[in-house]
Amino acid sequence: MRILRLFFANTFYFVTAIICLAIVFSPIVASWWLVYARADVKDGRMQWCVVAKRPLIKGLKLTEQNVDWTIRRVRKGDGFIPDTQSAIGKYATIDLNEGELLKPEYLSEFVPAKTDETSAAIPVEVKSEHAATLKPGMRLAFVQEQEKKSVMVPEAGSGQTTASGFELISITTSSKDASAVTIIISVSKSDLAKLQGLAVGQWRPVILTSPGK
Amino acid sequence: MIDTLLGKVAGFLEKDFLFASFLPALIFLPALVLTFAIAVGIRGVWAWIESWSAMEKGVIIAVSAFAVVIFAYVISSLRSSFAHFWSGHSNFPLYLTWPFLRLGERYQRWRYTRLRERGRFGRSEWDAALKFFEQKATYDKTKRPLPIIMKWYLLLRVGLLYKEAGTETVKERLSSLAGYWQQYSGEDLTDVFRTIKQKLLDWHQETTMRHQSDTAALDRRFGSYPTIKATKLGNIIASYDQYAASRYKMEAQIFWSRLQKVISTEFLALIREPRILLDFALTMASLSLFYSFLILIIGPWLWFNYWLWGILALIGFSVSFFFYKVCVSAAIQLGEMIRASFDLFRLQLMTALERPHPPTFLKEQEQWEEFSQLVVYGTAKDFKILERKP
Repeated sequence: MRILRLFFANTFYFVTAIICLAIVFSPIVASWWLVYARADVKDGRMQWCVVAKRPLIKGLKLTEQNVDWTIRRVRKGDGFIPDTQSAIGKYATIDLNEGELLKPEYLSEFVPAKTDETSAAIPVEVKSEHAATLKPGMRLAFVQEQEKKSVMVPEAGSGQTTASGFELISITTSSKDASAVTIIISVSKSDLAKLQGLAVGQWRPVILTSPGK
Repeated sequence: MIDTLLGKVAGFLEKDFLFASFLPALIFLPALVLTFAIAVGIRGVWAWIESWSAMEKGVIIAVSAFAVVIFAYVISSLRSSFAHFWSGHSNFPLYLTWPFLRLGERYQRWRYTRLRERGRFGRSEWDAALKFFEQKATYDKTKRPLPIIMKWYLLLRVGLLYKEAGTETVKERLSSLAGYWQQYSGEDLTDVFRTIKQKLLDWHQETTMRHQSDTAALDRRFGSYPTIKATKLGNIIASYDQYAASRYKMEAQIFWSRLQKVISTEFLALIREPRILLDFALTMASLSLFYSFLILIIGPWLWFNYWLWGILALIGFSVSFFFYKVCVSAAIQLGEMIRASFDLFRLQLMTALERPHPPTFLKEQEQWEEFSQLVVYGTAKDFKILERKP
């Protein structure tokens, strides 16, 4: 009763106080209402995530040079990589554009296998200086470095291949020897006889075709 | 030039600045950064920080420290605005607090009036109740002896008397009890009489004590009726602002700056402690409130999660309320020190102002009143100035 009496005795101040309170809190209400009205904002969340710094080709091993962090709105349920360290050292499983969000399903701990039952993935060690321009997807031939004569290249049509050369699957920098790089190539089973040759001597990669050419 | 620069740097390291501005800035900014880091993903932020080189870390820490100092400097200049806001002087923002201040003032006036009624005009009525009982219960040992069972019955009835029933009800019950003194020996009723008397005396003492503490509370918690402010803090500040005027007829706000000149260094250091605490708590209360509003406005744009932002805002409001309570406590301490300063050093100030040492308290009040007239209004009668000794 006393509270009611107090309320009516100060009705003017109470009403004004309620109006003022509404004005004070209006920026908060407006902010929440605006977010609620925009489904893209409401359903997403600003997240610290990792993006491709430059276009990435499938099979490329990620390094500090080709990933970057950003704060971007990520929709609920969409995967993302929360820190660059989680992405570095993994292989891209698809081609990625510059600035594209890296998702866990786009990366793999292992070299993406491009081989089927008719071919095999074979590692070949080459010098770093010779691997600088190599990219996954290129078709390569190998030249015996010392003899400068011996050329090892499968012909188009041999096995299941429709193009000449071995397909480059991925490039891995050696953590022990900076001067050497291991490249993984796809070799058709009909060319497996050439593997013995590849295992000995120093081989230099020769680019026959680049991806998309 | 170098001395001036060093002086400025030393100013930053003063206790006032460090505790009242730098420390709140050092708490507020990292709390804000941490909140938004949690919202966007602390793991990524942490990994990013770890990826900094030693040189980057050094540069970022230096820049952050500089930003904290600048922010602390800004909030240091806002200290008086914070004090105005929390003491109920300010209509910020845009007169939107005006109705709250009026409601607050009305509530505080009601509290003031209640305390004044109880403290100044209230008096214990238990003394009168005791006299009433003593008159009714006349001692007569010629009456018949009191059976022991009846004695226990009467003691039980006395035990059931409670002061919350009010003096009139208690008097009625005492009147009924006094009837036994007409029937039984006063000698046998001694224990009952003693118990009743002690009970009434205890109540009288308790009520008198409460009235005295109400009077003291009125003096410590409020200034005067016309200066009542909307908040407790404002009224406590008003109470010590008016202390010197009500006791010595000195204008405290005018004479405080002059009084500091004559206060001893040790005592000034004692006054400084609660003042720093008050400034620190005021800044923290204001920044916590600002934090709550800020995260409630920006938060949903980062993450539409009303639980997260609601709980964080609630924590911010609670912290603000806690520090407001600390402000009140610090203001009480500061008020005590300021009152003590006027009590202890006013006569030294009188001498410093070249006024003669007053022979009586009334003469002293007269001298302060004259001087206050001169300082505040510029109008004063001719008054005596201390003779210089050759």
